[in-house]
Amino acid sequence: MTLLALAWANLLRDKLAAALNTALMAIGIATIVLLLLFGHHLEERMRGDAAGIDLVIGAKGSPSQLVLSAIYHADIPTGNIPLAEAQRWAEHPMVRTAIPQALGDSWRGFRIVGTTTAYPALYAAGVREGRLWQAPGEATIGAAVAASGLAVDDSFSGVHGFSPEGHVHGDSRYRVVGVLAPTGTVIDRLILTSVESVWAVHGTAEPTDPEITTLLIDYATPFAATTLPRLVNSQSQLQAAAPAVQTNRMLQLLGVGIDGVRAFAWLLVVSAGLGVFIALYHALEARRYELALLRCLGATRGEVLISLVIEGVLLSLAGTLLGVFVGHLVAELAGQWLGFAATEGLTGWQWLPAESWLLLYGTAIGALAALVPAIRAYRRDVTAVLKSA
Amino acid sequence: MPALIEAQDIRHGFGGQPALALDHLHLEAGQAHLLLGPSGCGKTTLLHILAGLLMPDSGSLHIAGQDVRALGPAARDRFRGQHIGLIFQRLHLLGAVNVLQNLMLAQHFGRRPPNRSRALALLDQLGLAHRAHAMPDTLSQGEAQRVAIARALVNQPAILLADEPTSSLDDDNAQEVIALLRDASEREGAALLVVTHDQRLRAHFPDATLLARPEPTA
Repeated sequence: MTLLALAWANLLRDKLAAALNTALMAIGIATIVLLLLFGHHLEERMRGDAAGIDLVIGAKGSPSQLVLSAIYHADIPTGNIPLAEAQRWAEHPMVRTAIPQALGDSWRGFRIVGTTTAYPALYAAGVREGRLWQAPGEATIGAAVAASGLAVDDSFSGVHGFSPEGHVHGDSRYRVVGVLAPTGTVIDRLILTSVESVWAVHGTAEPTDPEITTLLIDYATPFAATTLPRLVNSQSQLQAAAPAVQTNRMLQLLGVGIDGVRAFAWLLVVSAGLGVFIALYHALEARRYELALLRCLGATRGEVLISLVIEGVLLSLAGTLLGVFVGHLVAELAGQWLGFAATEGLTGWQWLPAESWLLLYGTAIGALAALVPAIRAYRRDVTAVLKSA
Repeated sequence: MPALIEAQDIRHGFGGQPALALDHLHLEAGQAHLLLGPSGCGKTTLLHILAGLLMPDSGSLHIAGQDVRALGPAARDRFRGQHIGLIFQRLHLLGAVNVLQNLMLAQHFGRRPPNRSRALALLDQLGLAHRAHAMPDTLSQGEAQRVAIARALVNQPAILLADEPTSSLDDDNAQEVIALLRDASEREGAALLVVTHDQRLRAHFPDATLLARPEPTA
């Protein structure tokens, strides 16, 4: 028998209180873990989706709308731009590569993107089955699109707009020629085809003044970051938006919401600490003779103090470990089963550095909650307790 | 052979009022001794002093050759765990752990290596072998007291101190407990000091010290 074993045995005496405290702590910690994992996942995805894209050029409007529509395919585009105008910037010496996008149609909520093969290459998306599109009317689909029931050699009609109820372009159909390997990026949820195909669907196979929606730019030189956006915005009818800036802004906005929920979760953790405090304070009175008996057996004041702190730490550690486990489990299940775009690819099989701190904080709260009862037990006059027995 | 207890002129008071006045107490190995006195004579205070739980206001105290007053608080606690077994009237066991674990906790706080077979052998001697894994709240009062005696002896202490072990018992049971205490302490080589107001015990102890109420200060 050691202090640890004794503390454990004492906890098991009041299983209900111990279970309640553990559960309360676990709920708070699980919420925090889930937020950490989800926030990290979202950030990874947003940065991953924007990786390799230094600048988005599109029609004038809100810069965040431009970035949301062109990179994350989560908002409607700001409008179209003349191809000739776009070409001018694509050939600018400060631009290394420029990927065009023709947007506007979708199939069952998945967006159809008229682009070049440089676009899937940007996300290192290999072809899992079939091949990339070549002739007009051919499409290569992302892994999530394929998972929703579209396969190679199937054909489908796009609808105008991004809701499944839009006007159907029934007269011209796409044929699936390939499926991309899953990448964990936005491209999994896209249907890729050529710009010409998109023009054809809209009845302008050889348009007189062709338009595209956006241009994704990769700088040739870091120097471009300070000059090119200003040039575009001042010298043309176009708008340039830097994804890094917009993404940070969006993550900050998202962070405010996450912080709010996180504060609430910490409130749960702190109330669990309060529960530990109450349980031990109660035990201090209920077990006053037994604590005195420990001293009679040869335990020092310090050992009595430590035995109570161990109880607090055990309680909070159990709650914290359970919470971490549940948080990861829920994250994994959400990633696998929930089916939201935002939770796709979310996994519980990862350990964030912040979680190690969480383990420490959760445990420290238990130790702290135990400290006041423990110090009272430390100071208690054993002889007075024994005389009252 | 050095005395196990050598106490001289022990004085202690609470709130300015004297609570204990012991001129002399001497106990040798293997001896059984009775400390008899009326309530309010400071018996329990003396027991706490002898156990190192309380420091007397004045006087000299040596236990097993060690000047107890020279030890620091933590050292006194450890000394108690190693050399002194304590038995109380009602306060017996730690309720969270079973009978055997109660004994093994005493080994832990007595800074002895865990010795399960020693604990079991002692329980067997006291007729408690079948209760080794019972929880304290399933024991009868008599069983609990016997477990407490076994626990007090598990570290082979030099001295067994018993505080009013018989006052709530009828004659037969009181006699039985005293016989048990004397047998067990003799077998384990521990000196026995019983502190009580129970006059019935006088017949069982050839050596007795009478403790009188200290004179209150004017």
